[in-house]
Amino acid sequence: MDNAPKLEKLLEDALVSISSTTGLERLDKIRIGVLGKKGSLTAALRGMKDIAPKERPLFGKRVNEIRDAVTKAMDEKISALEEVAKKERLKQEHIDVTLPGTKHSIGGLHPLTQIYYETRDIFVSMGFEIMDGPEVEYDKYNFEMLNIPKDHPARDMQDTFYVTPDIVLRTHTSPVQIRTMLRKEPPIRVIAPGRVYRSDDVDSTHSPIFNQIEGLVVGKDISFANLKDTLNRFLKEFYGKDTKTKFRPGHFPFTEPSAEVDATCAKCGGSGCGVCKGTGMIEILGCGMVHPSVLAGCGIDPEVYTGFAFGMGLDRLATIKYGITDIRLLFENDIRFLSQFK
Amino acid sequence: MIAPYTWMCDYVDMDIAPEQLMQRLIMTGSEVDGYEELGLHLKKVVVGKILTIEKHPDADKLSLCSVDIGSEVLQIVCGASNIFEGALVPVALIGAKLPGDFNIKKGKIRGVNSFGMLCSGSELELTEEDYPGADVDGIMILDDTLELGTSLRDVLGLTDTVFEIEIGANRPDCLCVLGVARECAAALGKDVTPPTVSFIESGGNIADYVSVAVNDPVLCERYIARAVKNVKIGPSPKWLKERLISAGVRSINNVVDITNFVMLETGQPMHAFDHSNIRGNQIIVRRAQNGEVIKTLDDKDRKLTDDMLLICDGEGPIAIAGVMGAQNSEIKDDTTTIIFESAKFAQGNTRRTSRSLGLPTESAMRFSKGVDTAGCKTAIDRALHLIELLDAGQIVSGEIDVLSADISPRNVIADSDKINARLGTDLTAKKMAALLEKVYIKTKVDGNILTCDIPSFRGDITIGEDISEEVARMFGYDNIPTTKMTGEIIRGIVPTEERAIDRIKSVLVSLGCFECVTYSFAAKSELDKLNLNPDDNRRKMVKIINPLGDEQGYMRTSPVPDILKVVSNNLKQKVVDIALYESGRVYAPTSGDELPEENKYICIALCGKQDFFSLKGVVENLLESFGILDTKLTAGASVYYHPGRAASLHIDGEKVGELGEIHPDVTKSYEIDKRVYVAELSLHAIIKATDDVKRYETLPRFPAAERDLALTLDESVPAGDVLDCIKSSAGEFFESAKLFDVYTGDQLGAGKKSLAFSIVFRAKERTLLDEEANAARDAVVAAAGAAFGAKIRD
Repeated sequence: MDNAPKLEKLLEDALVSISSTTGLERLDKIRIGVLGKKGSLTAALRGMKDIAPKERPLFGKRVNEIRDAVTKAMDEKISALEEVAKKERLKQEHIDVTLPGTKHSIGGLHPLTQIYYETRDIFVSMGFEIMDGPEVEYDKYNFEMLNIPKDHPARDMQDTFYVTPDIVLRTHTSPVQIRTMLRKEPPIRVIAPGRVYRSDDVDSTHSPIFNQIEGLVVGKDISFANLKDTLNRFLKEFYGKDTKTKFRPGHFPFTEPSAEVDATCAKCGGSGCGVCKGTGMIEILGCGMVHPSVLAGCGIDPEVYTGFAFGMGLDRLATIKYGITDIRLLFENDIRFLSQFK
Repeated sequence: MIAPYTWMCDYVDMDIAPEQLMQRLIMTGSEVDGYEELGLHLKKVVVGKILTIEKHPDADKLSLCSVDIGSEVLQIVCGASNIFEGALVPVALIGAKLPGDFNIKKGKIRGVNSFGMLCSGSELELTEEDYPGADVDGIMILDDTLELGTSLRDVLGLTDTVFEIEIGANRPDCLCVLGVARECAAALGKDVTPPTVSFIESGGNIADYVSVAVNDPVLCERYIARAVKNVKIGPSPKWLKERLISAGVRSINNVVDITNFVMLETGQPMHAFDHSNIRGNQIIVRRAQNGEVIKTLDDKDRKLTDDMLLICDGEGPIAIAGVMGAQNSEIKDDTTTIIFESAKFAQGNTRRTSRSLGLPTESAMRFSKGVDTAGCKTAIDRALHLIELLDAGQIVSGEIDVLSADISPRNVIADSDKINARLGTDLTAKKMAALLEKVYIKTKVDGNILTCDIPSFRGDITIGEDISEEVARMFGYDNIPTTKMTGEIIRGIVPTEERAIDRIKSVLVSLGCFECVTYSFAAKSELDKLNLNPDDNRRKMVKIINPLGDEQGYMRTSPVPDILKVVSNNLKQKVVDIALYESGRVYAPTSGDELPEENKYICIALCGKQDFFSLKGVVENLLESFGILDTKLTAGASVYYHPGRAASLHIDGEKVGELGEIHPDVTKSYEIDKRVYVAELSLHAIIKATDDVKRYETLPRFPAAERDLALTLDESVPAGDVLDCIKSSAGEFFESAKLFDVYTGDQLGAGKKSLAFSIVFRAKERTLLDEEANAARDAVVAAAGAAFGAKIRD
């Protein structure tokens, strides 16, 4: 039984050196030193031929047990060392998360587009279809079929750019109403956005080119009460549910009755400020019931159908909503300005 | 329209704060811009008399005045040199707020107490027109009959509160004080007392003074003439002057003031001729002859055309009808007999005449908007009443009234059911009639039928829908309910084209571009800056007949000048790294009476760290987002691009845009000293080529074989052509090819370059054999060799 204590010593030594090891490389050496081809356990196994044959099975069994024990200790140690190493790496990999991010440059939509999207979304959700029309328009569509004949005083107020005596730069988006009614049968529910032109000199509130949204609804039993409801819904969606509106009588040649609509000032919320000149309300849009001769002129029987129309300035909605004090900024396209609306 | 409150009280018994009246008027349909208390800054300025003037002890140029303001004597320091003892002057008392936020406080001037200020005309914002002597350099010297202590507001007649009202084209009847007063009465539920129009004729016969012939009854439906003899021209009484001043009209003399007063009061323009200047005692209303000349009251010769209407005497013109009188017949200090005119001239014609002569007089403005034919008579009677009241002359018996229009009472029939349907209300016919009474529309009710008697001054009411508006505004828009639309549900639709624009905008924004919006006007000179050839189509522009200026004389045919201006302006603001786009329209003229073509485009501009390939990448990304993968670029574009760094973009063989670096001559014209890259794309072409059909393809199950290939060839061979060659020669297993390196260097020899490609081959149903991939590569090499003389680089 000379070999047995030797075997136990081998196990003891191996376990001690495994447990005292701090590096994976060293551990590998120990593994080779014990379990490798020329390792101590292998050598011990080779020494079995010197053992009495009846003791050999017991000896062999013990060798296997020792191999398993060493292997197990080794695996556990590896796991432990790897855990330490991982912890160390994570510690090393600490970064300053407050350093700036690596960004891709993103541009931005023009504020007028953003305002348009907002209004469009609301009206589309109410079942409106978008219509487009030419900016250079027949006088007939821009004026005459809207009850504004050649000598009508309303033409003075809409100083018009002419291309020929019969072709103008449209002064409002209302001609799209005419084009729509000439093309479509009721029920009609459309909005028409677009550029319009008036010969106003440029200043902080005027521009010879600006943008409008026109709305038109034609159907059976459409009433002024429907008009009020539709625009109230829009304004509450657009400016917030606490928005109050005021419909007051107005005049447009192509609607009867006509109204101007004021809404709670978006700047001060109704308490009065410079933007609303202290009144708490701001004029937002014009509207009315479509004049029967406008319907009839487009081949729609005013005895059967009624309708309402409305129009508003997108630029005005934008300047109010964003607190822009000078309309010229919208057309200067200074990137420092545009990037405020990203 | 200016409507003085006190004046309106002559017709309506009201006592209401201006703010409240304004709100009531607004809610019943008058567009009140605001109101102003006249002469507010004169509130603490009074008439004072300078008793003594002494030298200031410490200042040579200042005087020490004792000034009697009736209630007390004040010591005031003054620097003006035109003052004298005994002079009556305006004294601003302590607490006065003069124009320009100049508050008068008690103070010491060079050590001497001063209890107010003697004022010059300019310090009170007064001119010679307001008060004679106001323009004098120095203190304003007042009429020495004034009572001491009188407020300057009283002296100048600036005591009323005036409302400023925008009158819509449909309500010319409100272009007068009486008209606005009617609206006040309607809003407040009060009655109107019409002005007195009675007078006593003093004999004689109008026929002995003048005859009237209207040769053009279409342009003049009514002409009333009246004569006044023994006229005493003189100043108007204080009340009349004050009325005129409160409406912003200067007092001239009693007769002229009466015509102005009647116009302001009733809205009917009046004219007075000196009878002694009416040659042949004849008034003839006729069209002018082309080239006929008249010297108007403002001392200018006006050349006329044959569409203008004239008032003539036996020999020639004495007035441009409804616009302005001639100098030859104006009222003078020694006028003894006058002829009053009260007429109705055609709206459109007066408007055109006034505009083409540049004479937007108060009279022309009213005729252009339409006066009440029936009201001509009331107005002239009112003028005669005032002649009598002012004792300004004797009224000759008889009236000439040439009337061709029908002015009999007019009814409009309306249906209360239809009105309710239109408004969404539930009013009884009786209630509607009561509301209509408020606006002077007498209404008979028979079941649901309303028979409305329309006052002559409401020419705007002609159909039942007009009645519905009157009902609505008197009922109050606030009281009309809000009712949700019913009926079938309609789906909201954003059309294809607009959705395409949305996608373009969103892709370009995600690629770093800012959207800009520029004017669609252009000057011809912009195209010169682009160096466009004389025969370039873009030189054919839509011309605006009446532009704001040369810079905005045409509609643009190219988006490039505007985007370059935006780039230039941003560079001037020291913005670096510019990436912009605009989605807009260009306008191409068409022949004849057709509307111009409006073509939508996308224009992109990059400047800063970017280069041609950044721009190309943006364009490719954009097109890929529309499923447009098969595009072709050919070198060369418009003249304003760099000749060696620009390309035309083709989809399916059709040119759809251009992109490239802008020519240095052009950037210089736009004061840009950096390289700018611009792309122009047709929106229509993008939409046409869009391939939005998404389909699934089986993911590859077998590995790919990748072959890198470096080819040496002539520098002039475009890489795109080589890629095309690879694609067409690589055989059935070809999957993709990518250029990953371009190299030029001495080793290759002059005029040579090396292009390195990575080519991927794959078989669908099995693993591709090496030999197969190699054979495909060899085929590519052979094809490139044949096409471009390319050799494999060692």
